[in-house]
Amino acid sequence: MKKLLLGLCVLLALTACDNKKEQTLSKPVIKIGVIDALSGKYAENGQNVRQAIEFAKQDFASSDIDFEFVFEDYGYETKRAAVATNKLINVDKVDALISWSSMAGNVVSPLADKAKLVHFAICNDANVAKGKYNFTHFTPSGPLAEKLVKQIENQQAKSVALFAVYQPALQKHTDAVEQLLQSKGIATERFNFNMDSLDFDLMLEKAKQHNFDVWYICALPPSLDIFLKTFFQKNINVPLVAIDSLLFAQDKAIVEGMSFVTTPDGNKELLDRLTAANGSTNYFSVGYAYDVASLLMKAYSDLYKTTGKIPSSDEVADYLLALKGYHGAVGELVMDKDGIIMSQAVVKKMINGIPTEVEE
Amino acid sequence: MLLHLLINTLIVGSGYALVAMAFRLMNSVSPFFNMTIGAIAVLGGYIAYALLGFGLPLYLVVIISLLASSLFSGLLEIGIYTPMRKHGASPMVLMVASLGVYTIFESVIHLIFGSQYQTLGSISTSHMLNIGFMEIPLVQLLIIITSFVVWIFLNYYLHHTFMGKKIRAVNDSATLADIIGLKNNQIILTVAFLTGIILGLDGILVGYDTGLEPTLGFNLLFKGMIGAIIGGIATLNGAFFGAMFLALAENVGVALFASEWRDLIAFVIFIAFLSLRPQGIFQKKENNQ
Repeated sequence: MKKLLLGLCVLLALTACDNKKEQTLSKPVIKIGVIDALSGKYAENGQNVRQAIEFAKQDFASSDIDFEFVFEDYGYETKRAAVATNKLINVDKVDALISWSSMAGNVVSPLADKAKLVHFAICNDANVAKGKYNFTHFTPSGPLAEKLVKQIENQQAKSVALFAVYQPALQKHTDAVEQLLQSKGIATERFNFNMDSLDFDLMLEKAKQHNFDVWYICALPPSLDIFLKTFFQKNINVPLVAIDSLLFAQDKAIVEGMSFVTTPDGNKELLDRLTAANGSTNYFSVGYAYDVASLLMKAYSDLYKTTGKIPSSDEVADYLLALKGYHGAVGELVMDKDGIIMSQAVVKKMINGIPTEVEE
Repeated sequence: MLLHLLINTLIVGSGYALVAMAFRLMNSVSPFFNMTIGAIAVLGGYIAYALLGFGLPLYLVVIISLLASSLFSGLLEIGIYTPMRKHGASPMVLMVASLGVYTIFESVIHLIFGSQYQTLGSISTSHMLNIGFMEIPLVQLLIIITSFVVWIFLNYYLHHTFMGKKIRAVNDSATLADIIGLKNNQIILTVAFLTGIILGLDGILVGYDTGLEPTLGFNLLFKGMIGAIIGGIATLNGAFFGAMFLALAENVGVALFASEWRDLIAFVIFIAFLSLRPQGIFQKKENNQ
């Protein structure tokens, strides 16, 4: 008798599981493709972006839709970003796309537009947001430049040397800073250089002769590190200011104690979870990645609840364009008419090799 | 500013010259566009980087790295180029093979060391030397000294040693050298080992000065090659002074215009020489020696 009861219990349990499985299978699945730099120069950032998206998925409670994130590595290389995007669109048949970095965003944007897929880029290049289906989320150049220029004004500078690498997003930051400085009557001179520049001796010597009050740097490794090395070796006693760049310096000791304008990381709870998950304290882009994944899931889920059917890309795009007052990981988010989410800039200081947000 | 320009020309030019001389030396006995030259230099730098990570003393790191890059260069010759030559491979086929080897090498470096930019010494603790009117980092002074020492040594080696004469004989005519009983493959192998040491030195110095990344080899190779072609690919002195001339032209461009003109200037000069004076600046003079 006992055996019979036990057998019945097992049978019931199996049936329950099977029913649950059936229910799960009957749920619609929304596939979101993520073009992320999981290897290459910025692999640590890319891996953290992936982790943040995974957290967003765990945290998003939806009983109506199953969300599946398909990650494709582009190794921070333009060509690979195009291949990854085409694979996600044509092979994986994803419903929406997320990309990380302005480099990837610029590649994915026209492809997403052509395929009529909603694309959320974690970058601040306004070009990427062109077209009905493209959106960006990352503090734009405007707020970053405003905060930086405020710092420069506090130092009562009359002239600024602007050193900037040829990289679309970084050139845009520098353009915004230059325009704002000029509008405030502060003289500027631009010194541009290529991504692979490794010799700054003469450029810095030239700038030194003009006695600028403040120097500004906007670059990425390896040229950033060589620039900083040459700057300190030449004992140039001029305040050096920056947007983001110092975050990426390989030799953290060289930038210890320096402050710079950058983007907020995200709420403390999210950052602590990330550190607990993989030990990383490199939080660049993490909050934005979390927000982007959450927003896409919210859009699909809300629209599904309202209409009872899987929303089209046009409906999701319209929903996102109407976004107002959403409390995201990096603060209060408002979408502008061009598909760009507005968020604020912060000042950080390198303390014990860790970028730490400080009061101005 | 003028002094800075000249000193910087010497520093940059010396870096180019080491690769240009290695390129010239290898090309003298094995005349094809050897893409692996950049890989050998990068290997020297990365081996030094790995050994420093194990806490080995610097002198030992340098010796092992030079031996490794020399061995790598020799193995490429024994394992790939010599067998291909035996099968009658043309310079074009050899070049394509070297491109393949370079690509494999770059991928392996990516896998082992990652694509992050690495420096051999901490930037913040670089030693500075006061040379009166300006301060220059010790490593940059070492680049200049190394380049001049290698240039003097190679000139002596090629003109005053028996092996040097054999190398020049193969350079003049590999067929004739073979007929008179010279073992061409042995000579090529000797040059490969020697080239490996020069390139290994360059890799270590570059690692200390500007840092390493897997794709660095191409940049090193191109600037060295342009220098060698400008000066005259058929002469050692041409390679050395061509590299210096290239650095001077680039620096004048940076001083007069802007930094982003550097590579443009290099390639304009390269194309100008290829079309107007393909034999380079020094070739005629050296041919008479």
